[in-house]
Amino acid sequence: MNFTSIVSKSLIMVMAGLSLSCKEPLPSYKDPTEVFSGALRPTYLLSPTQNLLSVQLAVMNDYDETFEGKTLFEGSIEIVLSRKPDVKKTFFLSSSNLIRGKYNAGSRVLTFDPGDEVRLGVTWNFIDDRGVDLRTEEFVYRTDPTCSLRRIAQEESFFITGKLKLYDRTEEIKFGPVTFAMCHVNAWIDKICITVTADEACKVR
Amino acid sequence: MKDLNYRSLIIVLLLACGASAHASFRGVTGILEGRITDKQTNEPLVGVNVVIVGTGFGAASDAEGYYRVNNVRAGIYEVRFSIIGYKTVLMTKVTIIPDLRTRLNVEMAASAIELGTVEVRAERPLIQRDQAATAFSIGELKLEKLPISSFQDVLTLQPGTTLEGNVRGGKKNEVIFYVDGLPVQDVIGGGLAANIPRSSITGLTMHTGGFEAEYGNALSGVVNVITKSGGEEHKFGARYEKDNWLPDNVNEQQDRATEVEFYASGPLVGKEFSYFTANSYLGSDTRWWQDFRYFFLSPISQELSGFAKTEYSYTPMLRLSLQALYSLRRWHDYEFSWRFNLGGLPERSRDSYRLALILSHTLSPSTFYTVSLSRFYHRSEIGERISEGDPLGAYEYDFFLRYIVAGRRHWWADTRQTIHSLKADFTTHIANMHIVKVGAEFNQYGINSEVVKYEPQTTYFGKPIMGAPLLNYSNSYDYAPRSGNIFLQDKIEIIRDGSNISFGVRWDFLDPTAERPIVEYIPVRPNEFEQRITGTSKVKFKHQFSPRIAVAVPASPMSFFFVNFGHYFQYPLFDFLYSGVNPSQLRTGTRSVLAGNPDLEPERTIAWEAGFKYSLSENEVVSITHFRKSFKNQIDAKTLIPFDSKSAGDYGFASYVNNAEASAIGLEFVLSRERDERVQGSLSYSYMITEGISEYVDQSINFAQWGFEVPAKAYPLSWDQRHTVKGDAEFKLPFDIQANLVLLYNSPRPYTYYPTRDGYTPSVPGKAFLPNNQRMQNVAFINLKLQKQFEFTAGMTKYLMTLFADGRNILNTDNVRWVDSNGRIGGELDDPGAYYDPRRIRIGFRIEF
Repeated sequence: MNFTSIVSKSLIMVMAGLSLSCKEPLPSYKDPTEVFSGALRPTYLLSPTQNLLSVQLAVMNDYDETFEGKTLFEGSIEIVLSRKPDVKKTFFLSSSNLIRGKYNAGSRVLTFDPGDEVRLGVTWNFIDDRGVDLRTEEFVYRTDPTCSLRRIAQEESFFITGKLKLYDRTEEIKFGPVTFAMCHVNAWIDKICITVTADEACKVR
Repeated sequence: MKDLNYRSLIIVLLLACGASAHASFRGVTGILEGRITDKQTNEPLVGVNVVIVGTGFGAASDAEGYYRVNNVRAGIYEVRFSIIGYKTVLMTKVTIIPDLRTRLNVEMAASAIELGTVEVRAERPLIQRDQAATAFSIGELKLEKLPISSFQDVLTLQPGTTLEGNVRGGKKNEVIFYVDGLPVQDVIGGGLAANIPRSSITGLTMHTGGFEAEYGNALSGVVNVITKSGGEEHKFGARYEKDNWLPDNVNEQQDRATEVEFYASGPLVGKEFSYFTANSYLGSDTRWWQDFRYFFLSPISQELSGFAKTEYSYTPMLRLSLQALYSLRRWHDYEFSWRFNLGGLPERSRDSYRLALILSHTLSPSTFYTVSLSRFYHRSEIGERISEGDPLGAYEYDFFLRYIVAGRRHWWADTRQTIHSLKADFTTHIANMHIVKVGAEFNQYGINSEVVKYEPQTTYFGKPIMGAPLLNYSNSYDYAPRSGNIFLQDKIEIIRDGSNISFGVRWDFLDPTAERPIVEYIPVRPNEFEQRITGTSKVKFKHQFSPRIAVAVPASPMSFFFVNFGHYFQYPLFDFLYSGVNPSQLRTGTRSVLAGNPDLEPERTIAWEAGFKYSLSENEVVSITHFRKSFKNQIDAKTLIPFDSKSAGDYGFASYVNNAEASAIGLEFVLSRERDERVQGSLSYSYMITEGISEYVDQSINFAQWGFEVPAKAYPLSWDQRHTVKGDAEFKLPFDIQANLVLLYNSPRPYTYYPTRDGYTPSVPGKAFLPNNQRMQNVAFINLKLQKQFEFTAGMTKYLMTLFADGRNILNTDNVRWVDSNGRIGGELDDPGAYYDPRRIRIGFRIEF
């Protein structure tokens, strides 16, 4: 068999082969993904009026369009004591948790512009889902050497996670886990002692 | 889907079958000439009978042995040479090319007694010496072998053209299509107005360089289709092909296309009265069948077209031909952003009918004339009737504002055009040197258009501007313009089969027969104007002369040089003249965004080319051609004063003006190999630069809408295809399989890179907008057609059966067609339409008897 013959027969075979089993699917419909990005921001709030753990979920619209639709703010925030996972607190989110966002409570429509941020938040009083008060049952306090009236707990770490679904058509946004360490201060005392802020509590020896 | 108008079709066919044979007209006929000598003595033979078999055409050789047969319809013939005392010679496969001389020199051998005929196969000359311009001719045999879908595809295989059909830097609609010398153009919307069955074509000629004065109203190219005629024998044939022999779930690479064609020809009454007819049907679900099937029944696109011709030869010198052509098409548009709401896009239809009566009379061996009368009717409809006052529902986008999921496109159109044409050509040979041709043409149009169209305003990046009023592109007009031309050309053959000079001049006119409203805009409040019609003025009668000159000089027996120069004009489409300027419509307060301009001047091209051809061997020729073109008076839209933004958008009011220009320069190399049974074909390389300041007629108004400054300097136009390689090779495979391989390659074409993050604002604020500042990707196609012929006899009838497989893009290459301003192929939706068609293979058969 000469070269020309081989080439030509191959051509015919290729032609026949090409006419079989050829796929050409049109792209199936897929909602765009990663249209939002999220950040979880825990803060220990210590002030004359507050002694709480605040957790905020911040959602950024990374998509190039405005979203507008009904929302139920389905989602939750879970705070777990690192050394004892059965000590945990779960918050179920609702519109009452909205801190920032163009939300019409009457129509329940949330308008979310590109580059804008929607923020929801909760505060925790350190009582877990079972009703156990961590301040009496879990935190180990010692007296503040600078102020006998004040007791500061040993540093405790919490794993904090969150999830949120803003619209039916968008994906659930996952937050965390974020590890947050804090030293609980039993009471806010100033004037007669040096003021200790939430950030400084763990540094007091 | 509306039914095709079969009643009209039947009427057309009946009309066509009611008359007679052998038409000849502008660009349809050629000349057969040559010299007959004694084979032994080389002396000229006087009085040799030359007969073109089956036509009644012929001549006798003169005292120097020369003969000439004028007015021979283009096609392939047998020519018989006979004289007492010599063996009769039968030349086969003699190809007559329109507008050109086919030279056939014959040597006859003396013989004392009558012996059998000597049969000789004629060879086409590699260099056509009286052709002083770039042109390509393709016959019906080659057409059947090429992997093409329609005759228009052949144009894209030629050097200097793009896949979209731009010829040497021109816009797509700068090419005029003729069928038997009569145009089949859509004079409102542009482009070819009718399809014709492939089997009705005996050949076609494409002029991509200069063209003579008899051709006009085209800036860049002329495609002339020559149809078949009936002969002395009855012939029938059929073709059937489809691309979905396998089930959908096995082979998705298909359009679900089926094409059927029937043709027949032969004598009707005696040898003088013959007919030819061809009819084809193409049903297809298109490349987008996987989406269409959820909305419509198959087929999504239907096209029925046909051609019928009857010819009557009262004498061989006086012939009358009646032709009918119809082309009916129904289809649905597809847009990727509408894919989940395809029912919201309007259905479309296009019907074309043409009737032509052609008289051809040869007065003497050197003089003949042709007269034709034709009527062309074209109707295009879009959607279901809506009125301008009808409430407009908003489009509903999906949650992510990507796809339109509800609502209908607000577009209804019913445009009709009727063209009555009277043409006459007169050709005479003077002193054996001059072929003088004069001709005149008069066209009376009936132009009627009713369009209701509203479009949402969008950003440059294609995003809808929420809350912005819809733009009104509606119009309604009814006019009866007239056009015509007179031409004179002289083709001088200085030496037989030697130098040629061709002079020509053409005078064209257009009388729009319109009155132009005098519109004044009176400021009533800041940035708000009131429109008032204060009167009308008669529109100018337009006319112009276009000179043409061409010279062809043989540099040696093996080489040939030519140069040509010409001015070419093309009248604007009537829509650019009349839309939105109907005085009665304006008086009612209706205002379109874009208004026509009845005083538009014709667009103009000044072009020249110079070429050199050289025969490398007896079957190979190489050519190099340089061309330059300057496009003037191109149409664009100019934004005028701003007025009521609710009617016209907040950027103003625009009208068409002749303020754009462009230029093209290039080199073409072609290597052709013919007359070789093993491999023949051609390979070409083109280098072209095409730059201009406007690439489409709405450019300025769009730029104004988007807030961009109109570019002040030339930029590469979208079809600026710098490097192009094209090749086609015809060769034989084992088992007598005929193969034809086509290669198409072009270097990246430009697009505008102007990124945005949000679809509304540029990523780089203040960045200057430079059109076509980046390039896409290389484009390469390999197409292959294989065919195998069988002959068999049943009863007394001999059948010729051809099986074929026609593959396009057989390597399934992803060839990019468009890129969005962010550099994304297919934009944010990944539109697969951003790629040219993937692999398609049609398999079918053709039978003739």
